[in-house]
Amino acid sequence: MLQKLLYLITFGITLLLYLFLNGNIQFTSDPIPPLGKFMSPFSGAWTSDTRSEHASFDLHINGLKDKVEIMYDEHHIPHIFAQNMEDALFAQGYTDAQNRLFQMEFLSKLAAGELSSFIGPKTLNLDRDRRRRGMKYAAENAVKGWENQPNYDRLLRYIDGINTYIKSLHPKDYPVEYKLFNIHPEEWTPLKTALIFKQMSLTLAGRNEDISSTNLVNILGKETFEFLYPIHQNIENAVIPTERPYQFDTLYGSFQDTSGFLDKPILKTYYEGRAKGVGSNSWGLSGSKTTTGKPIFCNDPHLSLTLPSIWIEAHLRTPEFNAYGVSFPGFPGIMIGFNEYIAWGETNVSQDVEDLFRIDWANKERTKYMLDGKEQDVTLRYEEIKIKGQKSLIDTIKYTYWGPIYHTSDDGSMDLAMRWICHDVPDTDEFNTFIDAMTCKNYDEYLASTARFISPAQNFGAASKDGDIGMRVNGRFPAKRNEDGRFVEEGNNSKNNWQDWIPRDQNPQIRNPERGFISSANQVSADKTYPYYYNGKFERYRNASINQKLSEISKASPEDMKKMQYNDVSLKAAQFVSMLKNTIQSDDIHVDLRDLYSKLTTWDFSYKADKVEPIILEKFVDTLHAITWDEINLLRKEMDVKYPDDWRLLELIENDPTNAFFDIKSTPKSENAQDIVLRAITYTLQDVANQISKSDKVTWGQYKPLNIFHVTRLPALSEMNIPADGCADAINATAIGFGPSWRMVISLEDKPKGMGVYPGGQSGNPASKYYKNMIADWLNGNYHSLNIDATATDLHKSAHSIIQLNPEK
Amino acid sequence: MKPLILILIIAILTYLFSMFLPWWISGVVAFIVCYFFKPGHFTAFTASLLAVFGVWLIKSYFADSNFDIPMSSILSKILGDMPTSSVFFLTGLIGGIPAGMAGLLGNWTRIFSNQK
Repeated sequence: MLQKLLYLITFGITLLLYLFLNGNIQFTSDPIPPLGKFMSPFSGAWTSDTRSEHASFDLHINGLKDKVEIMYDEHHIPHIFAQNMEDALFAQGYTDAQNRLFQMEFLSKLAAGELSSFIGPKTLNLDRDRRRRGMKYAAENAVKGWENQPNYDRLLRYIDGINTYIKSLHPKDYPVEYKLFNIHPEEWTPLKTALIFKQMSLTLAGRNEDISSTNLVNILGKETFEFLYPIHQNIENAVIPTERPYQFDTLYGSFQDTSGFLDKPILKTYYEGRAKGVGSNSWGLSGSKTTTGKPIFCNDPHLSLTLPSIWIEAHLRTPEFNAYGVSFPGFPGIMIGFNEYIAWGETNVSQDVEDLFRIDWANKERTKYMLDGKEQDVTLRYEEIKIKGQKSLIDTIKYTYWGPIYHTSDDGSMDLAMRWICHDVPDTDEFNTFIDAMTCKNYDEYLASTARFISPAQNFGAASKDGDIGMRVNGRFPAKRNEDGRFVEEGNNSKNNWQDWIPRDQNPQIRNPERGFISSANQVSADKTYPYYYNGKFERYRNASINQKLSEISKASPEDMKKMQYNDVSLKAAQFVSMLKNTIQSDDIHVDLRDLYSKLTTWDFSYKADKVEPIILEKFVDTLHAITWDEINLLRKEMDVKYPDDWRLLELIENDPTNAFFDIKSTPKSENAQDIVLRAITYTLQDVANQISKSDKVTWGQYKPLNIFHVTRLPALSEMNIPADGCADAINATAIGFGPSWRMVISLEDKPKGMGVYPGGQSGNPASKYYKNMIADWLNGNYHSLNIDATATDLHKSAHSIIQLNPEK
Repeated sequence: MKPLILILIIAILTYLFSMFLPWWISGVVAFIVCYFFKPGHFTAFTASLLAVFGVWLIKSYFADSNFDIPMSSILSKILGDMPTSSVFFLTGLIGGIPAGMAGLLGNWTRIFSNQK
């Protein structure tokens, strides 16, 4: 009997052990990998598809029109030689999947709010946010619009390429992350490509300051609010300088007037601010300013730095075009790159195209709301969020005339619906923008090709070897009336909605300006004379540094432009230090701190990893804000607020030193700007001196190291704590997890030449030598040449992998 | 039956079947072999454990060089910064221990089925 009992217990333990090691049962809320399956040397982490790194093979593909050759060069960049566009896109899909399959799957699930299905409850809040925001709804709408477009087949060919690769995989070939999370690749669909596109739209156009602005305008009053948070800056280098007065009739004449914004603050919200660091630089020089006499085009988008990188490099060549550059894995074409005629790229426009409206409920159940005096029903969308190891969570999202209800308050008094441009069903083949760009032969063709792009709006810049340079604030923009979308508005009046779109020819744009350059770095799109109102969050210092440098250039070489992209001097630092010198005397500083203070005042404002001055400056600015805006800070517990911009604080210190905001409420004394500045710098110097006394490693690189996280944020697959030069306000805009995610310089000579680099590697396989091989070069400001001239004959000799795709007979 | 031969049989069968069947096939092999070869509890457990431990350890050692960067160094980080060499040992244990249990059960099951 005892024997039998023991036997049964052993049997049970063995069974449980196997189920646990196979990932069928979990003992913890955070799932752990299926260790048996994962560690098996026959099919687990020890095996995965590495054919692209050393093997050559032939495939027969149904639906292929002609032969295609894919050849990987020494940087593991695929060179695709096809006979037509469709086959080239098929091969791009195939190589994107070959190198970045897990990343693509992860990003599409991140956008859809489906991470918890394999990561567990840790990502539940993130998933809920994506569902509330209607990311999948936006992607479904995108596909609805795309399907009816004439070039939809191109997208399908790209997707076929991805699926051909997926189908070729045996479970033992899956990338290591699939095995770690115990999932398998799912079939790729247009929806997934749309999700990746929407994820990028969220990063670039998914933000607003409506809530903090509404709160502050209510608490401070309109006059003070305008004083502290003006829409336009006092000094502006607009993306598109005004060459002559704007001479078009706006659409405003046909608009009807509407009510204003909410008259009370919004207490406690879900809304999360945006990390500082997302942005981009782009500029182009006309031939008159270059050593070659031909234009140079440069672009470095500052997006999150991840492993694998958000960019993948590729070269696509057919008898009709020859293009080279980068794109997002999962999205066809070349987003930033060049061909034999033109070079192109983008920076973010940063205008606000996401507005919030308060819902006026018509019943207690909050299923009906008022709009234009009539009751309307909400549409319910059930979101089932699968959570690994737990029961699914069902979230019911209410959709209104405006869009989904994003913020909900317990009592229903402040339910805010979101009107976001990225939810709209597109009426163009916007997915084709970066496919068509590859074939453009001049700037006019480029303008025509990018006119289909809707959102996230970008400053599309280009230069051609005919000598053109040009830039257009490109995308679809609502023709907002004065202050539309700056604050939360009442949702019971449809006239508060955007009433029309600005015609594309009224978007600010410029071509071959007299100053000899075009440039953009997320600053205001156009100056105050532009007839349409717009608001947003705009950059102040980087763009000024760039324009100053470009104005001073007489003849620049591509090498000079490369150095400029790596420039880490901050104009913000220069202005704050200059203010310091004008406001206080060094005698005011405690004698023990004077050495440190003089370091700061004699600094060249470069954010080098081994310097201490950047730490002092950044801490000083933070402290200065905190002391000055103590009144605003006190509100934080109850509501979302924001500080005025750095430049506004600086301006106030210089022009209005006795302003009441400089008085610290908690002290009996009445402080002025000078008191505040002295207090802030003394506190900061003391703080930094304390740190130095404790450690000899007080440097910018140690204080704000760069982290390049794996997309899942697993430390084991990430590259962390990298001391790096640069800061968000410098041209080399590295900032914790953000930075120049791709640096590119193209010289538009008769045979265009390019160089570029990104902080990662082409392969998504952490055990590949191409996983992060470019990080060191990127850190040191080195580039590799973008080999657009590579021929099939050359590559036949040097490629480490050659894949021949043949049409199936 | 000599334990060494038992180890050899389990190891060879594990290696062959694992080429195309899921990882847990080593347990099935250990169970069946120990069922038919009547080794006794202790031998069944240790022979199964050692056989699969050995196969997984050696196989992972060779699989390590399938990659440019040794997979063991990546796995050592994923598994919480363990020394790289112990990754192979751990791989062996993860394969070996459940197989040992399965071998023991195989032997035991035969005893019970003979009693009936």
